[in-house]
Amino acid sequence: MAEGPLSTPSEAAGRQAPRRSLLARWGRSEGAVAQTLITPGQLLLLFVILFPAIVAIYISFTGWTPQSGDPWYEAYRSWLWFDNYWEALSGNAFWAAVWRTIVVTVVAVTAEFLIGFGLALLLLKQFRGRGLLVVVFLLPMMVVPAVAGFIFYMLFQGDGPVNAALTWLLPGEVNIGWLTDPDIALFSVIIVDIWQWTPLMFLILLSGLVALPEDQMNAARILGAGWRHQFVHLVLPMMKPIILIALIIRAMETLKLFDAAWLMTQGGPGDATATMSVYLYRETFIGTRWGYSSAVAILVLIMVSMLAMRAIRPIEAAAEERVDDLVVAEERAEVSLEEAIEAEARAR
Amino acid sequence: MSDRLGWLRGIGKALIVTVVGVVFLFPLYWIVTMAFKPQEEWQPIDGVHWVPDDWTLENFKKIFGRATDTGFFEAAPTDATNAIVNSIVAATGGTILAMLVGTLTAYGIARYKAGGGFLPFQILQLRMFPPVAIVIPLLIMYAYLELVDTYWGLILIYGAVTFPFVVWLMRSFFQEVPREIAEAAIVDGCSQWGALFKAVLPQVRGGLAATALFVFILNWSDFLLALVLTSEQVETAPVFLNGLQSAGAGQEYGPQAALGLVLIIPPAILGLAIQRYLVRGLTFGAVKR
Amino acid sequence: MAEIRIQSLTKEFAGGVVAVKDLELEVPHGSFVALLGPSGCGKTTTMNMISGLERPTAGEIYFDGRPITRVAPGKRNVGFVFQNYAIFTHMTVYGNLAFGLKVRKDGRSKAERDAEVRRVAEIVGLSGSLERKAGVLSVNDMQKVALGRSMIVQPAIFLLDEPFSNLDAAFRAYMRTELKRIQHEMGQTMVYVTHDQVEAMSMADRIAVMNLGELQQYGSPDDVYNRPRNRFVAGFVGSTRMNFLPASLAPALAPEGRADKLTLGVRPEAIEIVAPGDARSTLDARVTLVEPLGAKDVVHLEVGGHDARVVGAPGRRPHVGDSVGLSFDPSRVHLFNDETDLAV
Repeated sequence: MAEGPLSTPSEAAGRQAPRRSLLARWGRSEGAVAQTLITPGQLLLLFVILFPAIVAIYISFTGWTPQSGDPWYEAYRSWLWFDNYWEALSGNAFWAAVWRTIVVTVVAVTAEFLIGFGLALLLLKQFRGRGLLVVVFLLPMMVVPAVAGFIFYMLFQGDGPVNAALTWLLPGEVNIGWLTDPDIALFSVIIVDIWQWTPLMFLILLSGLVALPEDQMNAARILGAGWRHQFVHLVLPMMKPIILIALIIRAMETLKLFDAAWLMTQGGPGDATATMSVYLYRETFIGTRWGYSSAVAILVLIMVSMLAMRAIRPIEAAAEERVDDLVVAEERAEVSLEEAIEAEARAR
Repeated sequence: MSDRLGWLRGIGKALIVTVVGVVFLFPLYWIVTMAFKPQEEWQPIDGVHWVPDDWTLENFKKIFGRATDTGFFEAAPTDATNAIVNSIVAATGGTILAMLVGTLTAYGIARYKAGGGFLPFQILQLRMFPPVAIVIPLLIMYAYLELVDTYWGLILIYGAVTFPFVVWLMRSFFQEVPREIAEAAIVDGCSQWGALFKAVLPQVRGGLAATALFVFILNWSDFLLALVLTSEQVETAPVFLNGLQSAGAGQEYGPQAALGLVLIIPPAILGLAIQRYLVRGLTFGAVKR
Repeated sequence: MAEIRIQSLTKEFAGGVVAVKDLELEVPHGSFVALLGPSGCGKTTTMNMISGLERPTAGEIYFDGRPITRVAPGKRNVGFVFQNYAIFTHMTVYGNLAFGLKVRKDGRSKAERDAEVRRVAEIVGLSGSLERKAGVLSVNDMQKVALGRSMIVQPAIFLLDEPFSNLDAAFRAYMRTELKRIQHEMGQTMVYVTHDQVEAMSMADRIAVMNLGELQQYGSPDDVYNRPRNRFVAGFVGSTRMNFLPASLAPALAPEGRADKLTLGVRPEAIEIVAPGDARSTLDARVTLVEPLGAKDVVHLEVGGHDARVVGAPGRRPHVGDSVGLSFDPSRVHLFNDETDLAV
């Protein structure tokens, strides 16, 4: 230990009043600070996830409705065991809603991806007015989804501009019941989602394409690779993590689709556009069997959790590719030292 | 290589881009023109009015409560000023809450791997839950806590729902800051907190701003939660819009369009400003521009 | 194996930057030509035009008499090794090497292609690493992959853009000899860009010295070293830089009456240090610094207000502050007239 007039910081700190050093110690301990940092978040999650989940599970086993006059904690009076669950799982309505959600998600996300990728490829090379075009292509995703639903509600009216434009383009009168024809209504919802979110795909994919190493592309060109070879063997593999992330993000959000669909059709005509969220909402606030809709809600949560577990892995893998790069750089430095020694020996 | 082919491709490219541009822009064009159309032109019998014959500010006046022509008995009151104010308050409050809690959590994860390495996944999982699944218990809880139809109620739920985004984005930004910066600060005598506030946070200023704006846009755009948790006092603008929709027998396209326009302009401007940052954060920095 | 002829090649970028100006060059069949020059002299741009990655603003390039100026890079049958290798990091070593073959549909069977890949891997020394992912290789191995990948398609012309500048010194020396050996064996025409004149001197059959987009001199290493055409070339080539002194300091070495408009250039190895009053001494100088480098000494001097260096065998090492005389070999003295010509 050093002697002399200058004391070490810990000695100086120790001479402070004991109360101060406890706080100071807490402020310097990594573990303590780490825990404190995440505590507010955990509280928030507790409040928003845990309690509601418990309450929902409780109620899902009952036949409670708010109209019964009983307060919620007395819902046990109409205990039903698993009846609600059975009703949901064996009935049509629930599965139909699930199916509609899957259809919307798969079709919309695929279309958004293909169109977004195409646009990104088109706008890859610099040209005059490109900046402006990028802004234009980004606009739809900036629109509040509820308002987007309203806009398309107007557009899809029987006597509205979409039909008018199609009539002008195609021979004969076009009077499609975009929102009134049960066979078409779901498709209209999909169109709105595509309109609104293709820009996001476009943005993410464009950023990915722009970041591709140009030298590798040039090397491929010189080796004789045409455009198609470059795309299949270079662009796609290198874009894999980004593509994956983009698809998963969009799929996640599309599963929850509500705003635009509600504003356009409120789930109608009939049930035609009752995707999961819409179906649940209707059961909750139009039918008032909260016991039943709680059960549906719990089922939804379970299904989503299972999906989340499958989806997490590719996302983390993509994130880890970055970590891999750092590890590789270190590895490389070590190996080249060995090789230098080897080469030196050989050169003699 | 023939230049002729290149020329043709150029034309094809321009064509596609134009078509897509028109498709993207037309709905926006529609709402803009509708907002300025007088009542007779909302659903004209003589077919679609692509351009308003008569431009008017009447719709905007209606939504701000300064209608000059009261006309006939209106299907629903169209004064949206309160609703807009409520949207601003709720969105701002929710953003502040989410940023505070989320940034701290993100730092905890990024620097100390708090939560045992699972926390980020749990948080991602959260984003996948449809909010509608928890509205019943939420409503019950709120009724119990008397939070229904209050600012705090909205702020709380908005903060909670956008908190995962903040963590996701800010963690990415924090990870781009080298460890040495915090460690240097600690060597200089700072506590862990000091290191955070004095050394690390200034490095992620851009990310903080971008995340805050992004979250604000999310909260501003919320519809379902407000629909469920508010009624008259704290009704936000999208809910009000919906109300106009279902209330009237004849559709009040004009004022609705005006309100819609007012709703979408702030996020549009903010969104364009921050899109560069967003992609970096959202893709875990796998893409660096 | 092909001969390259470059005619009036010019490249101008947006904003008026002229990267290459009116270049005339002929690379004979099977020779090794170095493009030598400082950063920004236009050598890389020239290479890019030869490979087809850039289009010239004016001029023509001919391979074996065929104009290829407008031919796509993939169809020119050239090999290109980049400064940072640009190997396909997401593929295996095997995939990298096989790429050129896969892309060409020349009727080879899969087995034949496989044999080719292994053969090339053997030549560059990568046989053990074929299944490794290219992104995790050491820098030296990456270089081998870059070489192999270009070699496998047996291009007529090989272009290399400072390929060894990122390698460690020992490996760099090794690769230089390897490359020369391969080139001799396969007889390919090689164009090699470098800013390191030692590299150029040791490897090239002919050197094209460039500066600011213009060709300064094109000749054998001996030409460029001993008969530099202008002051730039004289100063750029040579490990210890040539000494430049105003000719007025030693008017005896200059032709009649022009001593004050000329600059004298003499290489450090062409000067001998003698005693101050010695008859052979042309100039007086004062020693400012002595660098003993083992096999030779570099003595820094001050001559009439200018700095000079002399390289000599170790032995009679002068001390700092000594006054000495400098003896010049008149046949190894160059004269330059504001950078245009010389008269020996």
